[in-house]
Amino acid sequence: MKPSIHIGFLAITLSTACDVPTSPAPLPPRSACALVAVHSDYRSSSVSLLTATGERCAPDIIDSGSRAPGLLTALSGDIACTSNFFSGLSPGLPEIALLDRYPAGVLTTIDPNDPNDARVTEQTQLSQGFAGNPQDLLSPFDGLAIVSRLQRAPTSAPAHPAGSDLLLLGPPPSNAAPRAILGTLSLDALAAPGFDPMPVRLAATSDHLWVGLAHLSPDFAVAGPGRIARLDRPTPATDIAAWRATPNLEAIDLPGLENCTGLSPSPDGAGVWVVCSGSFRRGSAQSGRSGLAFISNDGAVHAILSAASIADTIPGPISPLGFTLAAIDAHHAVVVALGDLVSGAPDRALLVRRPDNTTPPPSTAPGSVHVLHQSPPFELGDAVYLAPTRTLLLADASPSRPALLRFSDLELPITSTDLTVSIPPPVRLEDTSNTGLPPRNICVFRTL
Amino acid sequence: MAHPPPFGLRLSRPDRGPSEHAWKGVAVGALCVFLMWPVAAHAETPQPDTENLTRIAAPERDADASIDRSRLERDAIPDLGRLLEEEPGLRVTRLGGLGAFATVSIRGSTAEQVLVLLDGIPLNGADGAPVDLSQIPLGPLAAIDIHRGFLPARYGVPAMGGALVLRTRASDSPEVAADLGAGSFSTVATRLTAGLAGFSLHLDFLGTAGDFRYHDDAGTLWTSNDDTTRTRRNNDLQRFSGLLRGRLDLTPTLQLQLLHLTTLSDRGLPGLGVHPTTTSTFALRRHVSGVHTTLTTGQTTTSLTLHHAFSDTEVNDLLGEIGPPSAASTLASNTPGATWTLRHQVPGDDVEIDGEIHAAWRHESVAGTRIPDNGRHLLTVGLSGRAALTAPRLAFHIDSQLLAAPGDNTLGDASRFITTWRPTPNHRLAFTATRSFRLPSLHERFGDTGLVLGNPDLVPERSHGLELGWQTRFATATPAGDLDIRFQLQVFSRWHDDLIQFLQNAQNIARPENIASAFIAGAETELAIALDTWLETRLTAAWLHTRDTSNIAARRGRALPLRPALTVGTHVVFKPLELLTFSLDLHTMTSNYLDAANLVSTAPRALLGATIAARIDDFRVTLSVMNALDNRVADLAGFPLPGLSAFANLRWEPTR
Repeated sequence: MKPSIHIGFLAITLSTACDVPTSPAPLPPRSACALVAVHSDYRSSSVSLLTATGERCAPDIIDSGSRAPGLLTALSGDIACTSNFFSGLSPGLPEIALLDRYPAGVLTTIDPNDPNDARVTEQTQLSQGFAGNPQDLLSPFDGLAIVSRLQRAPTSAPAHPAGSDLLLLGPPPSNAAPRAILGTLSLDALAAPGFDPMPVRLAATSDHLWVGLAHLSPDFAVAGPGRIARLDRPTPATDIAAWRATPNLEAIDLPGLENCTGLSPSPDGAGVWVVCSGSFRRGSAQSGRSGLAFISNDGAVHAILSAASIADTIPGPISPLGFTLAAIDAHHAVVVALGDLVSGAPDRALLVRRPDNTTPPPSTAPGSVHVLHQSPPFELGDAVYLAPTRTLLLADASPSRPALLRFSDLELPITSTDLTVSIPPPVRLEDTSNTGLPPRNICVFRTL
Repeated sequence: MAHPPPFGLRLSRPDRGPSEHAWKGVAVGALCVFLMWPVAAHAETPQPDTENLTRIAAPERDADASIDRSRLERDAIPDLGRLLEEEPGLRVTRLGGLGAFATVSIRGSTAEQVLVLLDGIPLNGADGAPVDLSQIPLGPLAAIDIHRGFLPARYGVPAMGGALVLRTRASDSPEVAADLGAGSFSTVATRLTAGLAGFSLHLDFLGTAGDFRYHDDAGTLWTSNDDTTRTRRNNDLQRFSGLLRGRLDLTPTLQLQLLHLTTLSDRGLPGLGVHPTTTSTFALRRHVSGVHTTLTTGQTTTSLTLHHAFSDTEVNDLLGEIGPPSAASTLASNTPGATWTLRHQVPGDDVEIDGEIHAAWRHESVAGTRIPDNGRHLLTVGLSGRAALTAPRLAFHIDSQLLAAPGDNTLGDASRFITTWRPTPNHRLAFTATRSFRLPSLHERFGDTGLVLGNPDLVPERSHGLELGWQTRFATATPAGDLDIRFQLQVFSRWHDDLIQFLQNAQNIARPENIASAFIAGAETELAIALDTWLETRLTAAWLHTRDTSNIAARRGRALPLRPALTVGTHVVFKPLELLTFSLDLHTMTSNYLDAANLVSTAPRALLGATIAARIDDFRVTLSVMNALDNRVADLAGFPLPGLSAFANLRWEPTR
């Protein structure tokens, strides 16, 4: 035997001997969990809790197999966590709200503090006889929850809400019982003829609620003018019936854009960012109707940055923007430019800065654009920005190596307009689920 | 071995002319050598029926298993899905009860990898969708041949998962029969069969309301406050089929066979159990035609089959109960084709050789989608050869085909090699190696439904497999009658690669990719015991081990969904009197996963059925109970299955 082989064998032996299985790091207490991450391959789902920095806190507390399947599975493959705080039976205490979107249409709330497993505190069927496809939930105060329902009910559905609306939920009458349905708030007045409003994401600022609208034709084939809805934010003192009747509902148009579903309130409270993806049926013309906008609290549109204008500042093709949106502040937001499987163009996470302007007309070109990260097409998912720790978490649904990407040092690219600023690579957090399912959604359920 | 021609008829008429006598001699010789060898050498063995003999003894057998006419007629109103699932290695997935959409998987395959052929004519649509078993009428069928994992080259089309070959009934002598059945869920079934001088007509109607009761948990499994019991709505089916087939002997050596099948069906689309629909419908019109000619000259037989399959489907969902509301969406699949076969036999004392050359053309086109209207041409050339030695008792069989899709620049090859050894006349050991593929369908390559985009760069799915089979038979006379025991065991393993899966992105767009691979191993066994004519028992079991070997974190190392590890069937037919028959069927299945991540598993399932049939003169009365244990475990999430149900049938069949 050659000496080199001896050495190699010894090295392998030693390395094997040293490869003592390490027990996983102890999990922090549930009270340290602040984020919820939904992992899914669109067929089954698993939900994990994370710390405020995205570390593993309580993996896989509930999944599609947590109960034996009935007519449907316990959780389907189309689960969304909600982007806003929610309180259920115990006012003031955070719970996790999961929306089983399509086809189930079910709201499931979970007590995150149960030390052993996820305790489901209630479940409510939101669709009421049709596949309502609930998209988001917002709780302006304890005791009221607002759910956006994308799809219109067929005319044959029971005499319940028409869908493509906001569903209002009161507190459940008792533990484990479905929530009381208070009624609906129609958005039909905002839709152009031939289109449904199709509300998607919800956001709240101090005085207003904001609703992203897909505003598509009923068959999803054609997109109407890009617009979002704004209405008064109710408070515990508000008469809900009166508010339903006169919510001061108004449309804010975003000329040139379509399918404006993504909303993210600026952490500084100055307004909301909106992302518009354009109509997928437009094919290559989709990017022409896609873009990013910023609207201040008074309803003034300060920036309409088309996907083309964003792409002009960075190398690579013009790509439509996806639904992903994370507001950094009133001047910065993170979006994902969609890749293309045919051309091989990657998904790109972009940090976009809008020019400073305080009054209309809105800016039409970005101040700067930094490419934070790129992955093969179809892989980048949701993003959330944690302002207190200045941390950005981005879901990377790589089939073979899914991970949460953590960007911890965005200070320089945020403060600098120099496009040559190097951005440190993100930390890959690959242990947020034991199932291997890729992360899709990340939400904050507890004050950081 | 004599392969049945595409229309399932004999290659030539019996007792006609010298050349046919010669042909018969060859055929009988081949039959003796390849099929009846174990039996003929055993003088005291009772003569079994040809169907079972083929299944038990043939090394180059036409099919791995067959469901014969007696089993097709066993139940009052037969359910093809139920019959297929009694066969080891087959798994049927249903969206509802009798008449609901159902597909079949063979040895862990996908439904798309399974072909269904009617007398050799492929029924799979040009878009690549699997064949809906509920649209197949059983009245006109003589038998269903099951090919596991490979389809011989002479069919002109490869089948990576396997195939069901439906053989229609021949009417060589005058016959007439009529059936009237009825049962649970307002089900009505009628059949009429008439045959004369080689021509036969079969009419088949099935209607059902499908209005079974089911438990609706509202999709909220953690609360029962909102649970209800519902009646399945909009689940009705009306299906009519007519089959005309005939045979003309133009000359003593030239034969012409004709076939035409029309199927018209309308059904409701009930939707998910939690969101039932009221008006959505699905309509199918299918026409299958074929002309088959056979010319026999000496040891050479040439056959040519021209066929055409057309299907037109229409989905009406004007209210948007299932998807986005839209006007009726239609899909028309058009597949003309031709298959040519030249076969030559060289008989000999020590070695017998049988060779075939095959060529086939098929054109697939789909209208009504964004698939290019000109479709694609598929060209196949194949070669089959068999050689049998008398000492040692060895036989070799090779079957190979090459398929090209010139427009797609795609090429694929499938081949099978079988070595058979018979140490004694009643034992047979066979080793089989296979290699096969599945061409990406037109839908997968070019489809565009907005949210599902085709991928022109797809390559064929590929598979390699090994199989070891052992068959044995024991026959003896007992005081209670002749005892016939047959046993067979197959052990197999298969490696699948480049499997096509739809990947969905965060924007809900799905696109097929060659990303998956899998390893499948299994064993299938069958023990059949017959005691004279009054007791038949059949025990079947199948074990399936599946492992996803894809480089996908959520799947790697996990079991493939919808593939139960163990299925066991018990089938007993008891005939205490010549005119009275009892049968009992128990089919059990272990739990299986519903998802690729193996998070969701179903409960084990046991389905019990019982039938009693009595013949009185020209009439036969059949009473059947299905799912007697009222088991409600569904095949797929969202689609409840019916529980206990009962059916009755009255047949009038005047004796000839």
